[in-house]
Amino acid sequence: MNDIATSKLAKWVLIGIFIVEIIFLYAPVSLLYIFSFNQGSVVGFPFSGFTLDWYETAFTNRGLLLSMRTSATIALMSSTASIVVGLLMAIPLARRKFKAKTPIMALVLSPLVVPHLVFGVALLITFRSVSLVTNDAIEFPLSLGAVAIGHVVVLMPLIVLILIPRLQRIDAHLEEAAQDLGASGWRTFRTIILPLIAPALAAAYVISFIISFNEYAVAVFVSGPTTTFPIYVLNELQVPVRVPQIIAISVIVVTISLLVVVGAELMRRVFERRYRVLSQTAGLLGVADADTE
Amino acid sequence: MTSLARRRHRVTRSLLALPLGWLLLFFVIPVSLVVAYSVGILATFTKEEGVSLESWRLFLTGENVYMLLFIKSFRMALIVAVVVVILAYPIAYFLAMIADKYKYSLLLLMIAPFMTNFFMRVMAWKVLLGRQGVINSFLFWTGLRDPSNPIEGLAFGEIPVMIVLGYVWIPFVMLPMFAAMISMDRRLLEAATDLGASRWRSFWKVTFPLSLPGVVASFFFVFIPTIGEFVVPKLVGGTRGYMFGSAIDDLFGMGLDWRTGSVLSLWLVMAVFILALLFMRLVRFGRLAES
Repeated sequence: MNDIATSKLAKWVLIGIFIVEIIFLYAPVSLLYIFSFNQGSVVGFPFSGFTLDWYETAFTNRGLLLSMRTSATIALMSSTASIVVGLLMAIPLARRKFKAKTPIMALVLSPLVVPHLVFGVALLITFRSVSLVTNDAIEFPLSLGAVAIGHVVVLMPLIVLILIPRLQRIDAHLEEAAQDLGASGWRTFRTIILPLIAPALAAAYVISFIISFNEYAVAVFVSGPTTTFPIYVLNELQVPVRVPQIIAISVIVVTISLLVVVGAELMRRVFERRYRVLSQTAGLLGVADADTE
Repeated sequence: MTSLARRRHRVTRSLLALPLGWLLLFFVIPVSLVVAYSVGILATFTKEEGVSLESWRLFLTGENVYMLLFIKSFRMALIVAVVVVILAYPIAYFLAMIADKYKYSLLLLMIAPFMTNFFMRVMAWKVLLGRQGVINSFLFWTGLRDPSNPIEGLAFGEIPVMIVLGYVWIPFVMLPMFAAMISMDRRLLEAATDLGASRWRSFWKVTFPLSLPGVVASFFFVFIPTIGEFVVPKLVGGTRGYMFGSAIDDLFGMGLDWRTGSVLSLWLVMAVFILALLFMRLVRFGRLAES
């Protein structure tokens, strides 16, 4: 390392920039924390006293709670489904050689370059056309399920991108050794691959859940009469007197997801450290077995 | 061995069937239906006229307002993406090259609060901006500004929309650049020094070109969602902050004109694709020129 990174001056300038940007990023969100305890119903200076009323109002607001439950249901369905399809996709892409690999990879990643808004209207048109073409014989209800279907498409490329590097890191000898010893493909997957990628799977699941819970652009077009949490929040933000309780609930949601994200990251590190040791020893054994045969 | 290979092949195919089927049904077909809708092959409302390129013609010749709106949104997204990449580059560089063993902790510090809720971040600004918002009311309260004379620029318009969009993306934008710098071969820098290059020269001739693919990826990371944005303009944009995405939202959401909406949606995707191809070309040419 001998570029400007080694110069003292550049180092301090960069540390300065880092601190300034961290403040810029944290300040607005911290203000929300402060204002969630402010008495006045208008969010602004001066403070008019400390209160927990907004938290109480938020927790007794049925519409709000219902929307959170709806979003949690959607998130549960879509992240579970997308982990399954994501894994089915990632395994061959990471560990097998086949001709159509490049086009398939391009197809899997293509939802990333289509703005969510466009994907949302595309799904809307599709679901509407199904009931139109079949003369309402098959009516596709715009609802919770429709949102979950859309979210799986949004989440799949992200999950594939998280899993592929982990799968590639697994020593191919392990799989071969297992199969030489007579294990079926399913057994090899269950006893070798799955434990090794478990931390990555858990991380992918948490991230998917959070993304789905907060997704708006696709949901707003295909949710029909269903109100998800982001849709509820956006509607309520247009009503000034409702803003303080929305702030209170967001503070809670953010705090929880923050704890989950940081917790998951720490867990992942601990697990991976442990498994790295395991997989290295197992790798050595696998090679040794293959040699003696 | 060949039978094993054949079996593996079959397994691969059956593994891929479900995810590919899902993508076909719920991604490829929907996008194709937007194409069909834009030329009138498909119509869900009876009042819409038959198969023709009329909606495309109206849009492309600028007979309706949407082309102008696209140019405006394109410009806004371009400014936001460039500014954000410039702001995030030093952060990525700092984390990758200087922060050393603290890099992943600092990275988490930077990203964790923002991985959580897009709305929270937008809402924070909704509360900060505005004529009676936190910033203005703070200025009135401290007497720095007269209540009859708030900072109008904070109320509604293009500037607040761009500030909020930039804010929303900074933490994520640095990831691709960080990844590019981290995976760079450090021996190249040593070689540059051995050959007598100064620190600045090493940076411009080695580190910077090698980080360019990351820069391009970062740019698109911001540009794609920004040009299709419609939530932020709704919250802090007012009429002056209305964007191309807002028009698509209104054309579909209010059921005004799905056909024009389809044309605009496809145009958005096409614009992103063309720009992506162009940039990939540029980066490749840049590399050729280097070697």
